[in-house]
Amino acid sequence: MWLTAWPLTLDLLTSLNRRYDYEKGSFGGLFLFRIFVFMIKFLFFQSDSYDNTIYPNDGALIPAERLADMEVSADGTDLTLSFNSMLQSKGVATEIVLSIVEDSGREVMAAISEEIAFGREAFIVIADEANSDFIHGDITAVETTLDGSFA
Amino acid sequence: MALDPKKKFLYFNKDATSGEMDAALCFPVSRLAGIMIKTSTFMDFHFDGSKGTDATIVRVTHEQHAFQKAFMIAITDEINFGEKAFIRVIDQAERSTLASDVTINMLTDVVPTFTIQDTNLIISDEVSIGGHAVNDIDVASEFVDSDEHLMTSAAINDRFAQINASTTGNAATATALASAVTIGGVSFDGTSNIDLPGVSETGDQSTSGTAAGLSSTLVVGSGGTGATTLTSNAVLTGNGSSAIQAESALTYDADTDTLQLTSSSGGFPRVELKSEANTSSGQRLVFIKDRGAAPSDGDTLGIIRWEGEDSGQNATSYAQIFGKISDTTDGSEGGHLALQVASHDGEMTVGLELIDGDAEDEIDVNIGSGASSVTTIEGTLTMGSTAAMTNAGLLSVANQSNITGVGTISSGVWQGTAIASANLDADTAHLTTDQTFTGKKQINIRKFAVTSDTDGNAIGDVVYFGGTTSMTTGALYHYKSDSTWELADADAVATCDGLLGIALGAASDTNGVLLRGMVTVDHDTGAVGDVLFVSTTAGDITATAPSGNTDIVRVVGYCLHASNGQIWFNPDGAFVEVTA
Repeated sequence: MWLTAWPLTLDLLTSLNRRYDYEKGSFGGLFLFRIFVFMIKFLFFQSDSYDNTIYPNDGALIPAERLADMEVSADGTDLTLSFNSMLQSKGVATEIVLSIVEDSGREVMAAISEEIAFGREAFIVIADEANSDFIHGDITAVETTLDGSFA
Repeated sequence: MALDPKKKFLYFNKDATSGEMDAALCFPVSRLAGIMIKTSTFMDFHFDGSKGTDATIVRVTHEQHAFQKAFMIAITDEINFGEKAFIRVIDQAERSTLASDVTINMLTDVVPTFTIQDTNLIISDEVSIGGHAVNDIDVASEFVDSDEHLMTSAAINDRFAQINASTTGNAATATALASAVTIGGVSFDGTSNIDLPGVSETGDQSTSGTAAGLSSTLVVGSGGTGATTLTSNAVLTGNGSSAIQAESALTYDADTDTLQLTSSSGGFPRVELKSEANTSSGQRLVFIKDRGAAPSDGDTLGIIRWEGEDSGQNATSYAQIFGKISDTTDGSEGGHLALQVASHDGEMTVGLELIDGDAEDEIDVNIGSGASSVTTIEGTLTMGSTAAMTNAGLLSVANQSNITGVGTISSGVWQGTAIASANLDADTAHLTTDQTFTGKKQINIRKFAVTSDTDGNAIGDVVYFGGTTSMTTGALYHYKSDSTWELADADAVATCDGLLGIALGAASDTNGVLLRGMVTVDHDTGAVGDVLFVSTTAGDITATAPSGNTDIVRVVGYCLHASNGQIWFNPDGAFVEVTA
């Protein structure tokens, strides 16, 4: 059964989503019908630079579905989120690097994954330096200059 | 009714004219690749293109800087939860009525811009082909020596030019170089053989740089000097197969054109010109002057000079020999050789010089300088082939002719043959002064010429006594009993008897009184041939015999000229006293 009823409350959609068995393609026996949640989640990043010392400068909003991988650096202090190239270039990704507390990569990646998978909000703040708002407390900064010079 | 967000569309219209939508764009939300905030104002919407290799960026300007994040949230909500399938992000044409469906509006004063990305496939990573990774393509003027780079045809062409087409093997079709080059000074374009001077034909090789294999010096046997350094300006001399020697005592200074040979040993340095030729000809030290133009009389052709120092150790020239041109005329060339020495004030003065004469084979010689210079001849002075004077100052025996003057011969004995009478007859000028001849003299004929018209001019017998002065030249005088002279007067016996004479000047002892001979008196005496008498006018002679009582008539001579006073004076010893 195709669920097309809208609006459902976000709590209900989140609850339904969490119980979805992706291997079986169904919700663990509680439901006899399939539910597709029509939500596009976006990941938000913002640096702590300012225009005229007032307005937060440089930011990015990227669909979560374009996230290709997350990789912790060799020293464990950086986490790189790679997205499919915004310019459709081949062999290169749009990358945003976050500074994290050493050896906290797993917890940060888990937090991002869970928010994308189970979060109720379509607008997900991964790292907002300007407002000190991070999806996980071990994220300390946005290293990448978000000035649009992506590949 | 809930809508699938991916099936919603985002609309952008940059046409500012109401009701128009030229070049407007609309993208399905599913193609939204991301939104970038730039400098808090601009927002770039990135959309995947249709060809899989392209993308479009739509830049919009937000009117509220402080709410960029709020806009992101708003558009996220609009996409996911909005009720419109067609979301007008910005509609410039409708900015006055409905600029945007997004809660936080765009800045309507700024027209959005659309940037269509190149449709070329962009590969930013390595491409692996047949196991070989390629990560870049070098274009024109680029070259990276790497197995991971490919080259465009322009890059290959530029690379060939850059490395001057350095290839191995033979060119298949090339017959000439595009631009000729010069090899050893000879142009070569590959179309023909070249002949190199000093290699395949006569001439000098033009080389530069260091000969291959030559690390420092080239040995003498191979044509080098064998030395690493050579003293500046030193003249080089050989030393067998050892290194060429730079003679520090023999130098040539090109700045002053001076070749100098120095030595600290007595009697040195010296220059030797040694001839070993079995011929009669000798060595030569030649001075050559070539002005490159016609020379001038007086040009110096060379100088040999002796220089030293004076007592104050000032550089001084003491002697020199120079050769000059006396006459440059073609066919009459004459030279001038002179020896000079410093003449008592450091000044170089000619002491001996040979100068071209004014005829062929004639040389004039000057010896000494100035009237006080002394010329000493140790032996006999020979004139021509005849000895002329001994070193004792004695004239030699050769006949002397045409001696025009000898000055005063203060001593010695004159000896010689008689002076030829012809020389004495012709010479009336050199016995004019007083002479005294003793002994017997025979004069066969005494010649008396008519005297000049000057009073007192006389030829004859003259006495110098009487001690009388203030006499009238050319007047007739009577010698008185007191041994003086008085004017003769025929008025009385006492003044016209005895010795009579003609005064030849004012003083009897100095100028003399003529007793007999030719004389010019100071008055006219009569007509030519008249017998002349003592006049009754004191001192006069007249052709009229006195006739007064007691006058004395005495003949004294004969008139030779009617108006100039010349007479033959020869007084008769007898006289007659007139009684009338």
